[in-house]
Amino acid sequence: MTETGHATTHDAAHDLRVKAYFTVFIALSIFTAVSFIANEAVRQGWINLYTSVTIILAVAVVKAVLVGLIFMHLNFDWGRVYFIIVPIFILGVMMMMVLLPDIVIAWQPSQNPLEPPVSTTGTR
Amino acid sequence: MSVSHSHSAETHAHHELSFLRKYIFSEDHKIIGIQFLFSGLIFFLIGGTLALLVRLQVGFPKGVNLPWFPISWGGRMSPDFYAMAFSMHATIMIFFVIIPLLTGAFGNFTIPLMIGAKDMAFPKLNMMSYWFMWPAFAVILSSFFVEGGAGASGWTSYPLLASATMPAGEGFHSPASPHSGYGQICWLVALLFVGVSSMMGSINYMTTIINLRAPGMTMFRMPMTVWAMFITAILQSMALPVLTVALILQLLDKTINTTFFLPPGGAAFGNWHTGPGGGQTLLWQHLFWFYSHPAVYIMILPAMGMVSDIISTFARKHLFGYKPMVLAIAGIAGLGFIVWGHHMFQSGMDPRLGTGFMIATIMIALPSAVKTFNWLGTVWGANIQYTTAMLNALAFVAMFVIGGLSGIFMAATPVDVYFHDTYFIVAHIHYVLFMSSIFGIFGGIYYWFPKMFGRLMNEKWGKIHFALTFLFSNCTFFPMHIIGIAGHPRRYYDSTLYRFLDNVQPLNQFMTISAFLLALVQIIFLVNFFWSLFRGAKAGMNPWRSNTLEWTAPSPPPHGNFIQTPIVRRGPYEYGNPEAEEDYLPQAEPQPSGVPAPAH
Amino acid sequence: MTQAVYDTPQEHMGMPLPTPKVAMWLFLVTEIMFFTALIGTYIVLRHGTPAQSPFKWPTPHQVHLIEWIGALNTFVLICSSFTVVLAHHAAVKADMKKATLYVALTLALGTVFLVIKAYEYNSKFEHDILPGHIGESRLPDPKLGEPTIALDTPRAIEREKHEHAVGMQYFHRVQLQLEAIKKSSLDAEIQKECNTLLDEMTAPTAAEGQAVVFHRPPSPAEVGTRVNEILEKAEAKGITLHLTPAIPFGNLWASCYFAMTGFHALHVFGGIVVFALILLMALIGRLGPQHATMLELIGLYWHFVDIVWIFLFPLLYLV
Repeated sequence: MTETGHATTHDAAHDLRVKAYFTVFIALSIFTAVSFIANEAVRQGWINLYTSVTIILAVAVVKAVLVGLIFMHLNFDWGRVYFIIVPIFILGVMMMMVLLPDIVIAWQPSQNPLEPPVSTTGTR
Repeated sequence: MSVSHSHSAETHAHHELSFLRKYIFSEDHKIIGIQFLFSGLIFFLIGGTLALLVRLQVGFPKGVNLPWFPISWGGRMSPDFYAMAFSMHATIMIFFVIIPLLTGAFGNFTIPLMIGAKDMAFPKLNMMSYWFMWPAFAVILSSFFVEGGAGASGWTSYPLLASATMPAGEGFHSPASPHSGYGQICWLVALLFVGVSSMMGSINYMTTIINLRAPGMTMFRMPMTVWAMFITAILQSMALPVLTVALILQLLDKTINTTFFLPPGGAAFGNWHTGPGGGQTLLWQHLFWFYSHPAVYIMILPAMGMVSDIISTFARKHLFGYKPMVLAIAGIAGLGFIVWGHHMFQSGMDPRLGTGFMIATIMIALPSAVKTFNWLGTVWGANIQYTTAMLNALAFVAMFVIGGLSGIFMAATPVDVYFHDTYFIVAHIHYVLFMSSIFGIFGGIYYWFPKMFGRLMNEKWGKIHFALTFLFSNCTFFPMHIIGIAGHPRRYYDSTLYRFLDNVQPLNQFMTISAFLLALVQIIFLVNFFWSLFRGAKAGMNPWRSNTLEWTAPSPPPHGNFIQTPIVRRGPYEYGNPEAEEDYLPQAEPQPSGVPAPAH
Repeated sequence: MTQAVYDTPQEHMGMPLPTPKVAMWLFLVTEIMFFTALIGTYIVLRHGTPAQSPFKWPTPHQVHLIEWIGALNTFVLICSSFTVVLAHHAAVKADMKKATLYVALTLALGTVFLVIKAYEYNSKFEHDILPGHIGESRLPDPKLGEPTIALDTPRAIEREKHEHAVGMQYFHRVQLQLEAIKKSSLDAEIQKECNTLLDEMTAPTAAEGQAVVFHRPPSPAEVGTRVNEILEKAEAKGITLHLTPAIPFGNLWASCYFAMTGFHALHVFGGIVVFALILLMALIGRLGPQHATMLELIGLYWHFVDIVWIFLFPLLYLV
């Protein structure tokens, strides 16, 4: 392979990368606008709360995945680092789920909010 | 600046470093390990003194007046002082003794040597990880002298006792409990520094073990010590950030009036706003124990790894079941992340969560049992050399069985309802921490002292120290099981106030006396240690005739560890091969003729 | 930067990844755990609050949180992520001039983020929406269909006493603020309302020889309601009063808000410091293509900071 030939294919690969970065950048900006609009939509009453929450959180996940995949080069490195990243997500989600009964459910008053919260998990 | 100096110093091997850069601000993992060792031993003395104060109060709450003892003491320490003594004893032992000794001292010293690397992956980071302990040292020690005294809310530091301050405007001058003012803030800050130091260290260890192994050193040819340090580092890096968050949130609660752990409605504490808004005290417990349970595994796994290596060396036999041993450590660590609620069975948390935690906790017995049986399998039929290191390692195995068995009792929620906050728990803690981890640490010191300092410790005095420590520690901690079952609560200031404990008070006195004797016996160790530093018999390269790589480097190893990079050809436990000339076959030794090459 | 002891090339043991990259991913994993704990705390605390009005988690409007500013900040960080990855890309192609330019842009965008954050924090300080300051005494409000508390049970009396005792801290704070407002010159109507409230709160004094008619001062809960009304009127007129509102769960909200955005901002600041150092290196001519990996690594950290904000923004501002 000649020097120039190598350089051109290299350059082409690089330009593709820049294109990918730019596309992701535009996508991220659009998604941010989408979540902002979803929030406004609830305010205006066009969609209900649960729909908007779903949209907004889904958008956040998609944005994070895009940043991770393209900007953080995980599309190349995933096979080499997944065993570092996956356990931590499992651990994080597990921790939040374990906290749910005590911090969330126990304190969600179905009663009068003027009364101090009473645990709903029955007498112990 | 010293940064640029060290850069040039590292690239030129012949450049002689100043005393300061060689021994104080060193980037050499061996020096850093020894630094951790010395500061750990100093804090061991401090923590031990606090323990003696605790025992003095528990055994003799109304003063000492024994007919056969010349000194009598009629004084009474105040309840606050007693609370401070047991809280700081635990804090110092956990965060300033055991974890720095096991991970800081032994981790630093052994990892690069045992995997055939020149040094850690990031020597400067390593140095910072040690020096970040010094602010922690300074703050935790000064906490004794600040207004209100050191933290006295237990090492567990639960809100509301630890978090609240008194009437508005009074701030820390009249905190909820006398010691939850400045002292508690010092406690929180010191632990934050320890956490940062540990996290830096753990990243260094993991990277080194993953990427800097010598040629031929596959993951499954690493000695158990390195595996244990690796998995411990994973535990540290994943669990510590949660403790960091908990500490920071409590710090914010005490300083800028946030309400993360202060619940709504209630008393008129100054930094505590009532109304519907408010945090939850249980949240602290969850966040704290999410770290502190893996922390106890951080405090035992390195010792388990070191003990595996010591036992196989002195039994002159290969380790029984190497891969199961590795998987067992990984299993203990993995399960260790989902059992933290067993410290909270009595906290009022959801009982259904409790069931899940109970099942997971009981399951941890399985990999622990695997390890115990494998240690026994290693010494089975072996020609054991009873060196001091081996005695300590064998004691580890035996004492760990006792500590582990008491753990099974506590794992069952219905049983724990009775045992929680009694001396049964204290017995368990000390069997696994003092009599397992500390025996492991002593074993490691006797074992690696020749490599660290080029001299041997005195075997005779080592054995005397071991025997007396074994005797007195059992005398001190075994009766705790008994009084715990009798219902003796922990952390109580004066148990003679309760008639139902009258029968066990003699045991309390017995334990206190044993504890003092135990402390005295450690003087033998200290004298042996320091005397041998200067006057011990010179050690050769491999005084124990062991297989692992560190014994192929000079004692002590120079900067860069190995004269040339070792090439690893086999696992670390090739002992007692009948076809070989010697009863051991070091990892980097070329394959002798007539001996078949290893399968993996 | 930390000096790495490199192993010899990749045919030896270990990951087919440069050692510093392994270390950076391990570090990011600890940071993920840190922010998971922080954000997880916020999520569980928030979802432990009742969903019924009016005693529910504050809306962004109540706490003066402006969504589009948050969205703008998100956009700023996204741009900076883009520029930092272009900086690394330029360094790989050995175009150090471009790399320096992109690093400078990233630094600038990061600073813009912090400036906008400072502006937001300033608005919180102005409205005194700080942890421990906000009034939170409960007041039974028959208008909202909630039953009033029967005050004839001992427990209720005890509770009212306690609430009153703590509410006095808020009471005194508002008193001081109203006195300051009295001295300033504001819109006449607002000034009158503030002065009326102040008079009712202050103990009446008598001139010599005159009898004192004692009025019961408003309870902290009532003060809170009155303050909220005054603030609404002022806002309608576009006036910002330095008067602490009474917001249910306001203190918890403020605690979570400042803890989360504060730590995120600290991480942004850390990244900015590193970018400044890199820029310095470039300006004295010491930045070369050999630093491409270093740029990639600081980029990884920066992207992580961006991802944290990608989650913080909806969780705090939107949902």
